[in-house]
Amino acid sequence: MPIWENRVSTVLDFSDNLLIADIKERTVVGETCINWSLCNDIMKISLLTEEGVSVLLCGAVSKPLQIMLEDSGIDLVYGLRGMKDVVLQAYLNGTLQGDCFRLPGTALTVCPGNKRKRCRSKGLKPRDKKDLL
Amino acid sequence: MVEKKRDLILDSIADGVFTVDHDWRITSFNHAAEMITGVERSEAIGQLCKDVLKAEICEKDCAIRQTLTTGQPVVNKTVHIVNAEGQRIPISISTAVLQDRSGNVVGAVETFRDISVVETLKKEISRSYGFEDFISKNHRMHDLFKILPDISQSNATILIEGESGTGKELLAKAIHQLSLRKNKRLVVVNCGALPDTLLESEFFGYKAGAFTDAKRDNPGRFKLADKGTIFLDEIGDISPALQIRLLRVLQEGTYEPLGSVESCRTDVRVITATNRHLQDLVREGKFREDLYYRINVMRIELPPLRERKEDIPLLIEHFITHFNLLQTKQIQGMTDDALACLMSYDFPGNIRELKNIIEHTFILCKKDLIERQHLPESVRQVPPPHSSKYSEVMTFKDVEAIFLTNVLRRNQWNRIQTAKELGIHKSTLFRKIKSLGIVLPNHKRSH
Repeated sequence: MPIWENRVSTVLDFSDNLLIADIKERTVVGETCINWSLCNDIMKISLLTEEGVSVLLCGAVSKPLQIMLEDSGIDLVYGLRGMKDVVLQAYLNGTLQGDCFRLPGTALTVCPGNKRKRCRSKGLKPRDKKDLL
Repeated sequence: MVEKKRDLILDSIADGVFTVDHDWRITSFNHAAEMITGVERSEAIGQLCKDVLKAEICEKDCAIRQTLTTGQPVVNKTVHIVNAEGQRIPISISTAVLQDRSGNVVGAVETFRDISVVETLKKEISRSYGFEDFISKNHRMHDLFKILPDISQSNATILIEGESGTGKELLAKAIHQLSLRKNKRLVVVNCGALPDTLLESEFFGYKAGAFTDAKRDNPGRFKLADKGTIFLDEIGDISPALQIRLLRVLQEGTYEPLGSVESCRTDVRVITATNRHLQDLVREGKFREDLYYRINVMRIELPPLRERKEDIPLLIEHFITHFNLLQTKQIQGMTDDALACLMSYDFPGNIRELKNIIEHTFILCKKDLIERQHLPESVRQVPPPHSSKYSEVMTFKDVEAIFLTNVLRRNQWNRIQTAKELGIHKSTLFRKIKSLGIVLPNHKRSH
């Protein structure tokens, strides 16, 4: 999850900090924060894949970056806002659907990275892999 | 009543305008702001302005915060936003404090203008495209994108091979922009465009009096590119004599301008490109082997468009947006019929040809959608590859079949090799070949 002052950063493309969380059985077992302000789109994707990230939760995202993320196999949940811990907990509980988590002008969308079938709206299930939040 | 009047006035302004209170919550939002951001007024009012505007400065260098802190306005600052459709748009913003009748500061106002057209024109004029201008879903291109940052930040010479129109110069510019030399110059030399004698003086410069018309010193392109990057396009076209001089520059970092007895040192990163197979030229004795190995420290091959057909719809969309901006048109897209035509065309001129085709259609198309008859005749005449239904409707399955056939052809129809390249299991590939009805040479039809 790209973050800013303990909140989900508004736009993934322009974010400076990234919170990486390890999740096991719907519980956060570890967190790391990385400054990626000097990374361009490609570097960001390389970093995410190197870190073994499987899910990215974020605010707005530009189309080119969204396409590249999906093609690199990362599940994308975008259009989010709110305090990072609250959003994370809602994700783990599968209750991210509320309007309070939705950025104005953006539909909360879940896009599985390619190799899976298609985008679906809402309905979120955290996975027991290293998830990026 | 007052609010209604205010909204009416604000809506008559072509620039986006919004006002915020002390908590950065939007108190008014005009029609132009709705159009630029893609956020409706009803949704924007009461929200934090950063959540609505979605600009790159919101979390770093907020212009409104700056204005409220200093009392000074911000004028015409260029920033990027991401709109509701996911497009990155350049806008020019200005801010000022908002005061009530008694002069108390009650918030701030921000006006902003979509400057996409200006920025596109600037790019078109200066040809300064960068990495963000690469558009691809192709896995070979994505593999390249992954290694590009590392390649760029090394100092190694690079050889870019690819057919004409595949984007070699664009890639060279992207490498330069990602490199540590990005603040210095990128000098482009098209070696195929100049005769050998001129090329030598272009490369290395000359001293006044070196030849009849040399009235004053000319530094040459290597000097101009010092501490930066030099991009030598069509490197396969340079003469054996020039190859020797270039080899010396690469080996020793020194050269002598024409008419000079003193050597010049140069610190320049060299990127070369060719649309010919340089190794074949080496075999034929037309290109020096030692120079070939010098420039081939890192080799990048750009695939032709016919081998990345899955990118065609994406590129069409990109060029339609591009020409809509440049020509102030509002073409929405392309009919399935026209798309099918382009998908079955081989594009010998690659992406440049596709761009020219879209430009051609913009002249003829007076409707919302580009139709088959707007395409150049040479493209229209391409016969549909599979079925008679093909030209009527292009489904995702058709696109997938074309893509898979291309990869199979590239791997000499070797399915194991193809599966490996695609990163899928061979049984998945067999199943896809069968379900898509792809006929392999020397094989019976799969179903």
